[in-house]
Amino acid sequence: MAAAPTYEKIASTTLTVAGQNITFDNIPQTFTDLRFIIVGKCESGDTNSMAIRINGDQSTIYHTGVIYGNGTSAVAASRTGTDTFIYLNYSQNMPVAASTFALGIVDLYSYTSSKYKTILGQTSADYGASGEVVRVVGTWASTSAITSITATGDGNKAYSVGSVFSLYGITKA
Amino acid sequence: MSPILSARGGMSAGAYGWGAASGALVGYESISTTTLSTNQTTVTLSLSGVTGFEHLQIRMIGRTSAAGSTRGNLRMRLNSDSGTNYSWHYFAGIGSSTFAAGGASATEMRLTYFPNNGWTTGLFGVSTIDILQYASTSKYKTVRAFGGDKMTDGSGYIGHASGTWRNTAAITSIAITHGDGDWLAGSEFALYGIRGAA
Repeated sequence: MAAAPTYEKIASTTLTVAGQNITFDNIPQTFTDLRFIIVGKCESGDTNSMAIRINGDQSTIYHTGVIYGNGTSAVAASRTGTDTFIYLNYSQNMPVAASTFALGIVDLYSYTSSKYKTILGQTSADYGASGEVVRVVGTWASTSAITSITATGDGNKAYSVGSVFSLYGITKA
Repeated sequence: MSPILSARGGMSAGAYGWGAASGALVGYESISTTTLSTNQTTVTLSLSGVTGFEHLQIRMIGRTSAAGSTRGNLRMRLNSDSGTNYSWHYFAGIGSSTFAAGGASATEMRLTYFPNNGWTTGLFGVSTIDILQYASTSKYKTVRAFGGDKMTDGSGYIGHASGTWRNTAAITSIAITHGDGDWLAGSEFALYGIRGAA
């Protein structure tokens, strides 16, 4: 059975200056699913949880469910229709210490379909005295195809130099 | 159309030193996709003629025909074996509650939850299921799943699951059912192969 390669890098960038709201626009509509990977930290003194926004939509049609462990307990939580983004890390902010980055891996399923869009996220952040491991489910309650993804934060603060953002496409048979 | 990277927040894209690149990665290949046009009780993914992969991955979206704003497990059998040769475990969160469960000497694996048909129309659950060393003839087969859904009119579910088929035979087919009802039309099951080192 012939099979074609189906996991492709669409674009990737590493910040050389700090910046907020890192956006991948004009995403090709030729894949089945997307994977978005963030290696991110924020600037000293800032508080900013990792988050994503879709198609630049700043309405409150984002819904987030999480289960996370923070070193002492396992917790589940849910946010329904109150945010303009989907949280990726939750009880903690992104690290601020030098050389310390959080990792977020996001799968966006059937991103061109006419269904509501569901994502799964896996986030890890460990920086000494605190940290968390998070599993996220998110819904963007829109039937529009996803054409752009923005890495943002709940505090709308900047990602630091060295933060990396990569977008991949996965194609079905 | 080339993707455009931009920055919003007062700086131009050029200030960020964008380094977009493109190219195919080898080792992860699409094998088959099943998209349901009508409701279906069992979706069977055949591995007939599939060779050269080390692991398998299923990426799926699903919802069932069962009534109610409830959820139930995806259930999996391998090689049509209905014997008591499976075990499974999962942990999950729904709303603000965490829970875990497991089963031994079971007739199927129970993996991540998928929503029934009483929830918001058009909202499907998702899951990625990895089946490790599916062609081994010396090891029991281990499966892991990561899935979830987040309803706009209620709770969200997020969970991890694992299962074992206590059989050393190579896997030749994967049967996927749901504990509560048929898979709803529009559900999609995409099977991928992952190659080992050359």
